[in-house]
Formats: sequence, C-alpha cells, structure tokens
Amino acid sequence: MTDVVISSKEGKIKEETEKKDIISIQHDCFKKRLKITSLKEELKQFKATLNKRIQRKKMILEVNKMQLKTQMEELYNSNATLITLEDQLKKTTTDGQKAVIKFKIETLKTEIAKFESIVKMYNSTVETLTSEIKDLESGKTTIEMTTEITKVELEM
Amino acid sequence: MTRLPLFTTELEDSRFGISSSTSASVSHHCGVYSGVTIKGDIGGTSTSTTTTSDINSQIIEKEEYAQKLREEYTKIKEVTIVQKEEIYESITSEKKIIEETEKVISENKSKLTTLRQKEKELNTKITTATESSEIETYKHELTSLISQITTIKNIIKSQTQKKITTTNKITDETNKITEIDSKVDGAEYDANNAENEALTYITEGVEATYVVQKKHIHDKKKSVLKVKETEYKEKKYRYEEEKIKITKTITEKTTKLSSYEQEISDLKDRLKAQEERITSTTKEEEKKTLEREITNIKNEIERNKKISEEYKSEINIFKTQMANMMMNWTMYYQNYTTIRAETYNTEEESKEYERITSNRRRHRNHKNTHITKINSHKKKAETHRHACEETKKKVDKQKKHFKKQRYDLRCERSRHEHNSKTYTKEITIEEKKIIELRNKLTVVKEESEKIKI
Repeated sequence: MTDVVISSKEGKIKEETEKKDIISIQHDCFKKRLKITSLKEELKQFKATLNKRIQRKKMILEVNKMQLKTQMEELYNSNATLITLEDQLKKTTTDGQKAVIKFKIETLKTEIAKFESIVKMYNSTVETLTSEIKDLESGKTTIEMTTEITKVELEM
Repeated sequence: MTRLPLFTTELEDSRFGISSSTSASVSHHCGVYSGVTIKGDIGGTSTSTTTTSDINSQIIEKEEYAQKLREEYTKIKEVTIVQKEEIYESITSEKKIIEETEKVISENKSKLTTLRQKEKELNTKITTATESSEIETYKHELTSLISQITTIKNIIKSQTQKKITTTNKITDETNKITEIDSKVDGAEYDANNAENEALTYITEGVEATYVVQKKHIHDKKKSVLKVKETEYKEKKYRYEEEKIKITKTITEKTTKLSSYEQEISDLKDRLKAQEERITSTTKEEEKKTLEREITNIKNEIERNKKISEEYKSEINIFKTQMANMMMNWTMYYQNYTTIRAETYNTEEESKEYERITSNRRRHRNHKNTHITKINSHKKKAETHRHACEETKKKVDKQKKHFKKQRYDLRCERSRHEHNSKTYTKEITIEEKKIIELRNKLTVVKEESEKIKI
C-alpha cells in the first residue's frame, strides 16, 4: 500500500515538473514570437523612414558644418587679433596702455579657448553624423536588424 | 508539446471531449496543437469540458490579439521617436528665438530708458526756455524723440508678442510630447496586458489537456469498473451457489461416511460378540453357522471400509475444490476492489484537477474584474484630466485676451494722459507767447505813439 502511495506521489511530482517545463517552453516560444513581431515592425518602420532620417541627418550635418566653419573663422580672426595685440604690446612703452593690451589679450585667450572647445564639439558632431549617415546609406542597421530577426527565429 | 498527455495516449475517444479528425500535431501557434479539439471556456468560470467553445481557437485569438497590440505598440513607438525628435528640434530652435527676442527686448528697453531720460530733459528745457525759436528746436527734437520711442515701443511690443507666441508654442509642444509619451505608455501597457493574458491562456490550454486527460482516464476506468461490477455480481452469485452446493455435498458425504463408520463399528462389535460366542460354543453346527456369520460380517466390514474410503477421498476432492475456488474468489475480489479503488482515485484526481482549474479561472476572473474596473477608472481620470487641461488652456487664452485688452486700454489711457499733458504744456507755451506778443504789441504801440509825437 505504501509503495502504491509513494509511486502515485512520484508520478504526480513528475507530471507537475513536466507540465511546468512544457508551460515555460511554450511561454518562451510565445515571447520570442512577439519579439520577432516587434523586430519586424521596427525594421518595417525603419525602412519606411530611412530616406527621411538620412535627409534630416544631412540637414543637421549641413547646419553643423556651417556652424563649424563660422566658429573656425572666428577662431582664425581671434588668433590674428591676438598676434596683432602681442605685437602692439611689444611696441608699447606706456604702462597704462600695456595693462589695457594685456587685459585684452587675456580676454581674447579665454575666447580662443572657448572657440577651440566649440570647434572640437562641432568636429565630433560632424564626424558622428557623417558615420551615422554612412551607416544608414550602406544599410548596415537594416542588415543588423535582419540578422537579429533570423537569430531569434532560429532560437524559436 | 509532444510531451503533453494527449500526444502520448490514443486519441480515438471523441466521447470525452477529445475529437481527432486527423492525428494530433504541433501547431505554429504556441500552446496549441492542431487536429485536437478541447471544448471549454478559459475566459469564463465554467469548467473545461462543459461549454462548446474550442480552447485552441481561444488561445489563437488571444495570441493574435497580443501580436497585433505588440505590433501596434512598436509602430507607435517608432513613429513617436521620429515625431519627438522633430518636436525637440523645433523646441530647440524656438528656445533660440526666445533668447534672441529677449536680447532684443533688453537692448531696446535700455535704449528706451535713455530716450525717456532725454525726453524728460527736453520737456524741462521746453518749459524753462524763453525764446520761441529755442522752444521750436526743442519741440522738433522732442517729436523725433517721441517717434523713436514709439518705434522702440513697437519693436518691444512685437518682440514680446513673438516671445509669448513662441513660449506658447513650446508649451504646446511640451504638452504634445507628454501626450505622445502617455500614448506610448498606454500602448505598452495594453501590449503587456495582452501578452500576459495570452501567456495565461497558453498555460490554461496546457492545463486543460491535463484535465481532459484525467477525465479520459477516469471514464475509461469507470467503463471497465462497470463491466467488472456486472461480472462480479454474476461471479459472486455463481461462487455462492457453488459453495453451497459443495458444502452440501461435503455434508452429505460426511454424514454418509459417519454412518458407514458407525456401521463398521457396529459390525466390529457384532464380530467381537460372535467371536466370543464361537469360543464358548461347543456345538459343531452352531460353530459353523457362527463362522459363516463372522465371515459375512468381515466381508461387510471390508465393503463398508471401502465405501467409507471412497467417501473420504471424495470429501477430500470436494474440499480441495472448495479451497481452490475460495482462493480464486479471493484473488478475483482483490482485483475487483483494486479496480474500484483505482476508479475512485482517478475520479478524485480528475475532480481535483477540474476544481483547481475552475478555482484558478474564477480567481483570475475576479482579479480581472478589478483590473478592468481600475482601467476604466484610469481612463475616466485621464479623460477628466484632459478636459481639465483643455479648460485650463481656454481660461489661459481668455485671461491673456483680457490682459491684452487691459494693457491696450491702459496704453490708450496713458497716451491720452500724455497727449493731455502735452496739450496743456502747449497751451501754457502758447499763452506765454500770447503774453509776450501782447507785451511786444504794447511796446510797439508806445514806440509808434512816441514817433507820432
């Protein structure tokens, strides 16, 4: 009798474990299916807005390039002014004028540092945008997304 | 899926809620196998096999709905990302515009302060000046100054207007972003809910196969038990009959055996008596008769012994037969009780599965009712909030309109006051001029009279 009860309990436990396994596998499968749906929709939307994205990025790139150009010109002008002021400082003999020129040079140097950081920032933005545009135009992102979809499909 | 009990057992029984037009196979939907129909209602409170709805179609429906919602959510998310980027860009440019306008406004305000200062100075000069040509010059200057002030004022006004419009635009766009975010959140919430529901349906589908399987096993056992019960009744009747018959025969045989044994003992007594008589008898003839009788008795004893032996062996055979029969019966009875117990167990198991499943569904439905209520309250609250925001916007608009009206009226009043002041000053100046001219006239008259004289 005890054997019968034990075997019955064992059977029940085995059944429950198996059931849990089956349910978890089915859940995983469904989740993967949803992921695939989501990825496919993402890809579809990405493809639909690809040209628009490229155009927008190009536009932003143009603006950034212009800004970079302007800032570089400003930097060039500031450098030229700095040279002139330094020459003036060498030529000046009056202490009062010297102090004024020195103050001007200091201010200009701060400005130049500011310009340099701005130029650096614009340079990195332009580089990032260019690489992004290149990626978009080459279809790298699309290929990556398709590969991911295939991977999940295989996993499923 | 192939590990599910419905795959491992035969699917020939359509009586138990399982019908297999084709052989069972794994469907391309999760938790569903095609070729098998399990009747039940996962969403409702009824048990798995009582309603006519197909569980698989319910699961498929839920899965497709979840997929649809997930697709919609992804679509909304992707579209809103682009929309949000555009809005953020617009906000950035609008912020720049605001900065520029603020700059222009502050510049113009400082200019206006300077001009106002100049205006004040000129006004003082005009009031203090005595020469009309001087006054004229000042007046001319004042006019140009006033025109400049008006221009600056107009610029400030237009710039302020521009700033207000841009700020409003930014507010609208920020609201738009909030709305978009809430829309995306709502879509995500719905998609997650649908996914959870589909997962629950998948679980319930798998559970349903177990419930059906348990019921199937129980029904099979029940039918076996039914056959067995009829057989048992018949067998028991036959067994009892046979038992009575054999017992009766054994009793009869035993009675007969005892009577024969009694007879043998009687015969032995008789033999003893005859043997005693023969020893005491002296007559030859009597001896011969007695010897014949003794021989007869001996023969009789022999015959009876044989018969009693036969009876004994017969009784033994019947007893063995009885023992065998009883043993067989015990075995049969044990088998019968085992089947009964197994049937009872399977029934209990099946009932337990059904009870657990239905309880789980009932609890879930109860919970779902609360969730539905919460969702409806949430939606109502959102609608109310939206209505409140709309009213707020309307009120703000009206407020701005009234403020503008008040500002315009104030401007008009100050303009009129300014004009009145200017006119009063002009009157004073004119009166001064008149007095001056009169004085001049009297002087000229006096001079002319002097000349006449």
